[in-house]
Amino acid sequence: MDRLLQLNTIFISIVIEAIPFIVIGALISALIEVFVSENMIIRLMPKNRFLSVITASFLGVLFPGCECGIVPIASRLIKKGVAPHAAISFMLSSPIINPIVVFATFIAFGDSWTMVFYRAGLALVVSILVGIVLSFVIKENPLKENIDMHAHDHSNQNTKQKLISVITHTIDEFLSVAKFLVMGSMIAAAMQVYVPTKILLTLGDTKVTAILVMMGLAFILSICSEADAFVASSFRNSFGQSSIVAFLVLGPMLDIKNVLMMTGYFQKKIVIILVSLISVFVFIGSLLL
Amino acid sequence: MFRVVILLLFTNLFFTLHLSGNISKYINMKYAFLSKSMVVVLFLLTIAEGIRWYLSDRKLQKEHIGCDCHHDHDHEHNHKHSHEIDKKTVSKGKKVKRFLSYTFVLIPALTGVLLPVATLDSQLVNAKGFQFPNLEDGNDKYGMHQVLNPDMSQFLGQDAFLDLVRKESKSYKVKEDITLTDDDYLKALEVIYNYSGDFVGKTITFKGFSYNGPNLNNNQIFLLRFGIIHCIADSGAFGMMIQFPNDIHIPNDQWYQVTGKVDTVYYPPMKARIPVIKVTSYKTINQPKDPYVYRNSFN
Repeated sequence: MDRLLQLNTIFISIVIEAIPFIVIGALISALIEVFVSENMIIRLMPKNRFLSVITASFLGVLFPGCECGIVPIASRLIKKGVAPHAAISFMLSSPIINPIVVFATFIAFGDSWTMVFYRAGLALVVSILVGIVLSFVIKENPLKENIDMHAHDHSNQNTKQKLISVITHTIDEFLSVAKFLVMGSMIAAAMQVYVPTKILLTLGDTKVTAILVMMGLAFILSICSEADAFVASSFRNSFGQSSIVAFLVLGPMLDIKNVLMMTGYFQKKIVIILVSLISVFVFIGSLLL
Repeated sequence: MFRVVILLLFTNLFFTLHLSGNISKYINMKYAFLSKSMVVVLFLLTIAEGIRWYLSDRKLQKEHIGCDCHHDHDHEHNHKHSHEIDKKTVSKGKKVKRFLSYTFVLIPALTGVLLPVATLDSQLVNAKGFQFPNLEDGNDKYGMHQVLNPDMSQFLGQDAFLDLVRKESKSYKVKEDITLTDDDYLKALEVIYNYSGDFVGKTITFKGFSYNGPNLNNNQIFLLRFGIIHCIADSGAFGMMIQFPNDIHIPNDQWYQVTGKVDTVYYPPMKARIPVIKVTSYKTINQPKDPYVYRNSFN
């Protein structure tokens, strides 16, 4: 019973930490839905697959959020006509290269830019590569069919109606993400209580296993990307720089709660491809560092 | 209807936690403004959803039952059409599924309010791995022991941190009797671990729960407290080794207040000399009202 209460405490703590960011994500997604028209996006985004992936990856700088809020935003962008591979690149880079996370990383690693550069650099490389590969792989609509696909035209609503639409879309989005957050946080909390980290840490002897262990930890711990740098820096003495970078890049792209969220929005096939591509690229990338 | 309940209960979760002060047991209060604003935001969303439910219920009565996409504005025309298809395809199974997933979402909103906040104890110290990083790396002697010694250098940078500890140490070095309070627990430990030599012979009083760590003699045990840096998920256990004159048999998770003289001892798992308190007096205490200690400011 005690263990269950502890599990609940950690679980609640993760949920409470993430909800503000999910609400912000839902709000941004709703704003895009209502105020950004498809024409605007078509005008702004380059047609060329390489250029669009690169542009989208760098645009991640603009969205201050974490990995839980970004999934609905990305699927909203796809519905609005952004090429899926570009939207996914954006989804991967944004939780890492946005100003808040960059700042948190800078502070967490002792006011040093080194880790910030490695982290943001590898994140951009991985998101661009994944985007390019996906642009060849994705043939049809990567989104699940059962989520509402009809694009609403909000352009002829007046301001009051638009505001109402923003609020209702925010609620819809929040509620649909919430169940994945709850499930992910529950698993992550259970892992923290029942699986001794000691087991994982003893595995991290060589560079290769250290990177794999840190990637596994990043996936399991499911820490919000706004906070993960502080946790990562606490591993600095037991793990080398390359494995810390792997932790910091993989976590925001893939962790238990955001993979669950992806399965809510994207087709299973796409999620599997994404998970494997990201893991492979992050692994190779941090090995080369 | 269900959606209004969910939003209301989540609003209630944040509201209750802030009202009871229990929020501090989940997150570091430095970030409290985020969750505080959630009380307002979620409440507004609850009201909005309530109004929407009320209006759609009146307007479309039976047609809307069991359908959660209410885009009533402007689209009623084509929506009515799609709802008819929906109605046929939304089988009972789907409704059950939706009901279950909504119920699932409610779990944290309910357990967060109804269940007591668990206190992290020595079992979790085990789960979190009572391990010591290798200190063989010579240039990094102020290494990270997220167990025992709260090393905040990674938040500040090495130089700034050492400066800070030097400054902090001045107020402690002049004292012969030092009592660690809830407020300065982590700060004082930082100073004692970094300047353990200067504290040998001084008397220290502090509280914590017992933890039988690895490689201890029969008269030694650790006294620890959980410290929260960001939220409970990233907490660590901090404290000191204490040593009794005679052998002891203390189970884990007993709360003690001990007073004793500082000495240092070589502790193999840490490959370093760490401070040890040679106990002169001790008493069992109840678990403090707030068992955790925080590092909120770096001043």
